[in-house]
Amino acid sequence: MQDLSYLEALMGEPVGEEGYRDIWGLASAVEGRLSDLSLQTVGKARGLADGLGAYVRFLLAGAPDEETAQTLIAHGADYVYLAPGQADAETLAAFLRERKPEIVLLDDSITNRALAARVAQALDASLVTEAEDVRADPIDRALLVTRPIYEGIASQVIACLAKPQIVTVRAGAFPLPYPDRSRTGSIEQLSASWQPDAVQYEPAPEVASPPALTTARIVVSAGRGMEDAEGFALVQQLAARLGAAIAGDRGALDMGWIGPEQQVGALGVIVTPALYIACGIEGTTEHYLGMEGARAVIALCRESDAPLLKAADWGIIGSPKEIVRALVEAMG
Amino acid sequence: MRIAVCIKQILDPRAVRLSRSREAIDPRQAARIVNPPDRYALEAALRLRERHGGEVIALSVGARDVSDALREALAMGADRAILLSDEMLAGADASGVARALARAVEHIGDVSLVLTGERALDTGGGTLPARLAQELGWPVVTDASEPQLEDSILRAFQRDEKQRWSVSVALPAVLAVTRQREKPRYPPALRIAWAYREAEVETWDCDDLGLSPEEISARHTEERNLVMPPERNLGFILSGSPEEAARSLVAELRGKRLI
Repeated sequence: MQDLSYLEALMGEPVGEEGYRDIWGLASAVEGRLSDLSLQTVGKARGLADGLGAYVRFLLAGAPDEETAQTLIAHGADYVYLAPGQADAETLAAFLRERKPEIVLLDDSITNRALAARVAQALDASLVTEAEDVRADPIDRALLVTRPIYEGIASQVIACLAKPQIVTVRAGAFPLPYPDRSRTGSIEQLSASWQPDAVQYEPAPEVASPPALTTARIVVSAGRGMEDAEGFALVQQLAARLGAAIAGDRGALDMGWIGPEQQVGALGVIVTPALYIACGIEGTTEHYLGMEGARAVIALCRESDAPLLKAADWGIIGSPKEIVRALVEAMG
Repeated sequence: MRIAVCIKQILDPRAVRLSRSREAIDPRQAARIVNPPDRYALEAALRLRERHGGEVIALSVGARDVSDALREALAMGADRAILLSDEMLAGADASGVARALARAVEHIGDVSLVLTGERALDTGGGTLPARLAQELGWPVVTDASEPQLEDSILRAFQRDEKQRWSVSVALPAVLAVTRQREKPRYPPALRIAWAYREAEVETWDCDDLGLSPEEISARHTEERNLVMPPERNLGFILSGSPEEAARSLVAELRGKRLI
């Protein structure tokens, strides 16, 4: 484990300002495993710590054991504190108030966003959720965090002004670090325990409800080029595989595949998904006006002069039926 | 039962464009609208009132022109609308806004449920519901849908990254509502006319709430530059057999994390 005393001696002062020091994280062990996101987060914490001259300390909640703690150490933690159970805001806030971390990194999830928000509010800390990138300003050590705005049309860099600096890290934002099994660290059992949640959770049966067209992240849209009911069934398969909403153009409406509430176009619904997959749609202006706000477009067209190909990020020319079938297979 | 619904006026995210030359958001085409998830929260509140009686109060923070958002809430069926408007609040971040809203909820008195949208679709980090709950000292359920009330126990569904949950919590509580199933209603024409011509939007300032500048004006974060997405290169055709083209397309999409 690295020793920071030489750094402190060099600088003549404690590392980090106002006594806020080190990078803390919270991970949860489920059935002896850590999620890929937790490993990405601890890897990022290690990277930041090396730049700042700090230790990486992780609270390990859930059902922690020696082995998962060692996994955290192999991926970059210096200290692991075993804290079985579900983390709650009051206990975590009290703990962080006492430990004064410079940075706190959490996996971004629905539960952790609420947890981080309560803790930040209680501590008057800075908080940025859904981080796509995290770096430290080399001059004043302040964290510069990048997060999406306006549903992802761009990203905003946000500087943290207050300590602790709390960040929830998005899945896939950082690479999965390679484990170094020779790394050593210390493992401690925490005596304090988490408080029970005032909210009761019980597993509920799944309801298969495709996302609403106007809020879906991915829209799969059919046109006359899908030929027949069998072709439209392939489009439905593709949508189900992607968890996407199903739509169509005027042609699909005329074929009776979709209802008017699913017709994309200036005269129908205007959609702005992250990804729009047009299957067998050649592309009228009316249709284009309904989907021009999509951030990425795929056009699967029979004709090489189909107007939609020019507005698409990726085009494939051929039988839309065969291409959609091949796409479903290629996704495995 | 008294239900407060917190709504935010935002620029229509579907009409906001990027200006690459200025590296900024171009809001010229974008109208100011009620944050769509907040309309679902209002709908949920109105349904609870229809079943259990009580009062629905719409709350918002901002300059005077935000009263349009509150008039829309009145048109949909809210009984009262209150705007927290103060120069001191203009520079407040999520922490200060949560504090002001919590103080307003306490000031209204006898509120047993606060509803709001899961997140603001402009620049929101989705932290307001939990921050508000922390200020009030109440529990919070985020990403909830279809709230039901049984003997002052609130039940709802929550979907997290892995599965769907049935959640229950004793009131008072804060609930952040997702955009699912129960779609916001269209207001009747007569009610629209009343809301925009006659209805009163109450305005409270920091003095009314007993809020001091120190409590709400501390800045915790600061917005810096925008990061533009990579330029789109349109018209790229993937060649080969359908199978080859499909495989390379799937690889492209996975590489860009679009699927």
